[in-house]
Amino acid sequence: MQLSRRQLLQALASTGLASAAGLSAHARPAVATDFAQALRSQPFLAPFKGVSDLTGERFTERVATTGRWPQGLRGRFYRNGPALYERNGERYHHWFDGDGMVQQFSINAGKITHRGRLVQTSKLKAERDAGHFLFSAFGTTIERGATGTGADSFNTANTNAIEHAGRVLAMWEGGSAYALDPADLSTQGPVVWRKDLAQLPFTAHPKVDAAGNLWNIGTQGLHLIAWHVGPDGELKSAQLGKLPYPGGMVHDMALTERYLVVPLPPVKLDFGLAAADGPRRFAMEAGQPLRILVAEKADITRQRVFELPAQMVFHVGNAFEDTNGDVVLTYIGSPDAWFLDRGAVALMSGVPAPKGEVSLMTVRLNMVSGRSSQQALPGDLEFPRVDPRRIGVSGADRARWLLTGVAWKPYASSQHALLHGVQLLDTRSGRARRFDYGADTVAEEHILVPKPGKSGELDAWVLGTTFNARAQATVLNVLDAARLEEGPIAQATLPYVLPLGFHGNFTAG
Amino acid sequence: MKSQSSPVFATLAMAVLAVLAVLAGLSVSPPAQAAAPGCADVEVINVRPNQGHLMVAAYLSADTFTKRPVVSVRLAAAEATMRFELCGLSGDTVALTLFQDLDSDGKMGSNLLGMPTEPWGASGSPGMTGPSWATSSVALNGSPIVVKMSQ
Repeated sequence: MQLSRRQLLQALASTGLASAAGLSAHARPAVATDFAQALRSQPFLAPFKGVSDLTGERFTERVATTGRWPQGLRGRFYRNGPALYERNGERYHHWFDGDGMVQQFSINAGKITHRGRLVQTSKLKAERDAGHFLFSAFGTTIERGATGTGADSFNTANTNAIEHAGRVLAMWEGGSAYALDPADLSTQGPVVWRKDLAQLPFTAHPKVDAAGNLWNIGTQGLHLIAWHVGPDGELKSAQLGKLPYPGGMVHDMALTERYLVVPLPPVKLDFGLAAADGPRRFAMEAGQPLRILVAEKADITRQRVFELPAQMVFHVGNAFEDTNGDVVLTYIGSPDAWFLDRGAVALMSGVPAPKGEVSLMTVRLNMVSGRSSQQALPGDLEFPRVDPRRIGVSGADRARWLLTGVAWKPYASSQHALLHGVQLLDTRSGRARRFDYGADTVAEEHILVPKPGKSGELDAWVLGTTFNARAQATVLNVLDAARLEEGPIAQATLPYVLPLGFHGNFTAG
Repeated sequence: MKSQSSPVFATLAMAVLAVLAVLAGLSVSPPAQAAAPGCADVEVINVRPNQGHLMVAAYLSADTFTKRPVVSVRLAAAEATMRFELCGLSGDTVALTLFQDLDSDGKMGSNLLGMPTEPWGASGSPGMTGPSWATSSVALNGSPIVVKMSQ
């Protein structure tokens, strides 16, 4: 039985894995004690110690609160992120490697319950049973002679969590979403939307429109898959297309009423090159542009590919269709893949790496003429979010405000590209309102939660977690979007430290 | 939307099915002492217990590898580690390819892009480009052949 080289490389490219067919051992994974050293002088890195199988199960029935939690704020706030980084004295090199742990904050008029659980993926279970890592991860080569069946053999389900149609989806770029039960975050298993679509990539950044339609993409080698899941959780369509830039990292997408908008940064994921010793390296491919694919939701073969000056892109803000035929997209871009290549490794080792530049980009992509233009707004921003009711909405009701994490002061944590504040940017005027959590606090992604019964864009709460390095505690914060500069109106402080995570979502009710 | 099935895995499944009729005459028994001539002691690890069947195909040359198995067997997947004796072999080299037919549909499961969705394994050490005669062929000399199924 023989996999063609092309097939195998496709598999490797999608899974972020190097050991699918047993590469020879090269890496000496970072030893846990190196990080422990670095932690002494940089207490804000404590969350990067990560969890064990034991501490990956957390529950607090009633979290201690301060301030006045709004009576109208009721629902479940989820977050996901890499959490387990070490086994048997071996430590992953790269932040993206860790096994996923989903956090659920159940908020009911000031009563807050927290539950956190590691996603029980087949990888986690196999490695727990073995007592050590078995598989290579995104940024770390590990050769233990274990082969994978498909992408889900390496799935860490670690990037985003959303409750949709009665189940929690824990998502990861290279393989299936994992379903969890919202009642107790127990793992139900990888989601197979249709038998012939098993283990196909379902990225971590779906977009849900106001009606509850979930759109997502997945990429594997040459192929692009576009997923449409209805509000009832049933698969409506899965379309297969070709990528103009195969094998690249495709992390996020935007949508409008008619289109899917997919940045294709020129960063190849070539896991065939085993890291000689230490972390895997990533680089932008010289001479390649940033491509942005705009495809019709109804038929993704009807598309345009725009080429812009090369940038690395993780996250998009939002997109809308303008009356002149422009698709307008905001995203956060960097001139190179510094965070992927070095920043995410520095956080795990504790040794700061030189920080790269970041800009908020606004690009106009004209579907009639094929022309494009762009504007850059420099600033240390990440984790862009908009009003969930206005995702992809065009016309007068389109989203005006962009919420992001932000850093603008030379705090120690800023050296590591960590953020210390939150910001609401008025995309019409370019003016920003911000709040600084201070030198001792790392700010994570914050989201907008509309106030029930209100329709104004800033009739909303801003909800997000922070890590207080002085108190060594993870805190849930709620701010008023209309008065962001005043800071949290209430907080809930956990009796333990959670790993820093990536993305999350709120479900009302 | 065009469906692409992996020719390699389809070939494996077809090869296994094509010679299932030969099963009746073959013995597959737990190994006693050293394997008898023409037989190999096989140990398969990381089997998913009690799920479907383990499908095993044996090849004796590069020319016939994944095309014409000399022997193929279908065993109920029982324990995580299964040991059996495979007979009807000849010569001094053999390569084994396996998959676990979890849903007992007789086919190696694969998705729209031809990637396997059922566990597979091969003798020897699959290299960067997947199992081949070169990487999977092992000595047929009485030494046990160990295959680890994919995770």
